[in-house]
Amino acid sequence: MIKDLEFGCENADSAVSYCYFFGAYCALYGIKDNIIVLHTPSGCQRRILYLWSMHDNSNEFKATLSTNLIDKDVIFGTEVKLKRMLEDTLRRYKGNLVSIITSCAPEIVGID
Amino acid sequence: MRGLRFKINEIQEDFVQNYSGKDNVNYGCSMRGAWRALQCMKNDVAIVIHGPKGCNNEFKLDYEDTIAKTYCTEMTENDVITGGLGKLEKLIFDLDKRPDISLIVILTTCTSELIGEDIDTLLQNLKNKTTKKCFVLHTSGISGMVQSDGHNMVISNLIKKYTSKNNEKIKNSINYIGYSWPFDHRAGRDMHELNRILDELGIKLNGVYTSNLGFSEIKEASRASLNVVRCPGSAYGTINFMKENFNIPYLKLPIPVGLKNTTDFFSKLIDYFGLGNEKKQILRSYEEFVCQKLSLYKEILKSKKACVAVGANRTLYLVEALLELELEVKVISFYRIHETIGDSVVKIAGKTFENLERLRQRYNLDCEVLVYSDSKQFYDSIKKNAVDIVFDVHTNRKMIHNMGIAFSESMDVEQPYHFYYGFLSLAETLTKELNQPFYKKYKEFCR
Repeated sequence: MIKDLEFGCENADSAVSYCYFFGAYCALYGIKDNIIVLHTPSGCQRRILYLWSMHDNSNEFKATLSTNLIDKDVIFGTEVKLKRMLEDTLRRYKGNLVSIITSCAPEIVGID
Repeated sequence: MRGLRFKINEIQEDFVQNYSGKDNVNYGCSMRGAWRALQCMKNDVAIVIHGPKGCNNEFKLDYEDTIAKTYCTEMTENDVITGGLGKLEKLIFDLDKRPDISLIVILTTCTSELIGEDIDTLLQNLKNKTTKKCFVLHTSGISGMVQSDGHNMVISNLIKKYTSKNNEKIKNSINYIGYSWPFDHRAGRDMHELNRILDELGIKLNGVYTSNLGFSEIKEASRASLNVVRCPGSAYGTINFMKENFNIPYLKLPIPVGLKNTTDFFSKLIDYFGLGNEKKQILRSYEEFVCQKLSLYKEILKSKKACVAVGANRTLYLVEALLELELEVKVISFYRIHETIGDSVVKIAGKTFENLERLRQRYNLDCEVLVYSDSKQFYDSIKKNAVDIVFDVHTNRKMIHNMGIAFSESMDVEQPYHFYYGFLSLAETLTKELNQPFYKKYKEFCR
């Protein structure tokens, strides 16, 4: 039975599936006075905003920022950029909570 | 009288590479661009995303069996540790058995690139075991931040790999490069009109890269006698290659939005091929027809205030089209004015600013120009200028609606908006949007 459910191209085509990243974003978006920082490459921010625009029903502006990681950051470390982003965010936006969501790229390179 | 009022935020030379701290800059990634370009091709092309399932969550353009289908290897933690090439190999073998598929294109993601999956060697090893054409594009988001990079990679790779050199040229024929919508879907219907008008002018449309392209059509790309550039970011790799190798020159024409730009577009083609002034008469008759129909819409649209937030290349043309509809453009927002072209960062809006100044003089344009703005600055500017309708990317639709303002998409456009009938369709869409009492009620309801 389980063998039948193994990965194969027959069922891969129709799948439009989400990952933890989107679920976490949805949950955090509902929290008031929360600034969301995505520690991700720029593609993940674009994708999440695109998907979220289909679901969003709020009439309140909420900042979603991204560190827009590039290959240089992956090699030399992503922490500096994140630190700079957090300082910038706290200066620029008002909020009681800053939540950081990571994606595949920073997790694979092992950010602490 | 006031003129253009620029508000430019913290532009640095290395802005694109080291960007952080803005929430209103939607770069996307080259994987998304490549996927989008490939998805508009015919159903004999299969796209394989070698990455986690989250990377395969784009909206499909339609569910009919006419365009390329997307498959994903859905990499997990195990694959990151032990390698995901086995999954990819299995998927390639599965697709290879399918008689309807001629070409398999593999797109890599951040995950597969970071763990160093050697897909090139895998494909080399599979060469004698599979029958279908197959190649890989390295499209990880960390190395390609801009969608047009992905479009460019797809078009240039297809042509470099599969176009025959020895094709005979077709007289008065063009390739339209840098446009991605399936012909029978949403804005792609514009291509039917392009085809029809070109036909009337005696020009053949050899192919649109990458709309409705099948594997067999790619081989014929070198038959055109001219390449017309729709999007420079998506076409730069291809047009130079085709000029050097197939001896096909290229022409950058205005984006055909609005009457003036559309007529300019076709007039330049008529002049290039030396087709004579009688062909320009055809354009005049189209213009007259559209002008008559537009008067109805203009009554409603007149003096309505608009905000335009589109890419730098299209801004000027769209602003001009809106001014033709007698709308007042009050806010222009550039999310970015730099872009990576190949390995270098290029300021793409330099000429746009110069041309905006020309528009200001011609139409007495009085508007605020935002560059690299935050969302909040953008929304504040819309409120301050009492804008009635906003042209923006899909991601801001709900927010704009919730502000009680009409909205029209600037990227993933629902209706045709290019050429003559497209312009009528644009006017109709705007009129419908502006007549929706729904938005203000909706806003009250939300509160």
